Amino acid sequence: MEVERPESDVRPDTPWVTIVWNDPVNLMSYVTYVFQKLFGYPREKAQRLMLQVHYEGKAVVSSGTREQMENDAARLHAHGLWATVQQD
Amino acid sequence: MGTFDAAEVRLRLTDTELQVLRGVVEQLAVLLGELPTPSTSDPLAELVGPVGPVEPPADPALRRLFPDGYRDDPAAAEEFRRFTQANLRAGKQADLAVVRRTLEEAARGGALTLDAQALDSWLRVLTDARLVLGVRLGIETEEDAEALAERTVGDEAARAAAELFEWLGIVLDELVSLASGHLGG
Repeated sequence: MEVERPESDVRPDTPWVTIVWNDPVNLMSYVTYVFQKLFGYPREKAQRLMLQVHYEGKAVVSSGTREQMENDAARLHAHGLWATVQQD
Repeated sequence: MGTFDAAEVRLRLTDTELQVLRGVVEQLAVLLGELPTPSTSDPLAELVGPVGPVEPPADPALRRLFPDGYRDDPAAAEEFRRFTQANLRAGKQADLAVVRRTLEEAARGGALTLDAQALDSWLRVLTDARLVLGVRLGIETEEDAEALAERTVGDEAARAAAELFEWLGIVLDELVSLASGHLGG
């Protein structure tokens, strides 16, 4: 039998992540720029994440609390990137 | 095509190009206006956001601009949409207003002049325009994008949309490289 956890019982050490999914339209240069601008990542890291999205179909671009990740996803959506939130 | 000094970028565009860009802005504005908004008669409720569920838009182009925030959790996706969609649309409308204003200035003054903030609005608007055209042109894979010319043979409207898609990509790429110069690193 499975025990149902109430929604408030979220283990604080379990991080949430924001995932960016590949799409065939967004320019690689633009995706790199957005990662640099939104997350303050150095160009090399931003580029590495962009290439991971491009070749592997997705990449984890940030991690933290659920609220932070929803904020990141919303900011990515505002820049035309397809991002989702999930528990790691 | 463009130059930038520390404070702003300048881009020379022909009258025809300005006219095309104005058309792009107006079409995006119309599309954003078609996003279904849950209405409420309670002004206080409007301040905190819609109370009832907010459905994802049926138009696939709108759905691309307003995507789900959760992939395998419809309830969380619905809640995310309820609390973010109105803001997202307001931001897109503000970006369109910036692009519209700078296009008018360019029509009067000869060159398009953008400060860092206006430049970011341009990047987002051109990106949205390409995302919408990509959906309309049925671009779902990298191969679709590469075979765009062959895919639109014999269809004048699609051909024109494909050419616009490509050209907006060139302008966007130029602006991205100027914006990246601002970031350093």
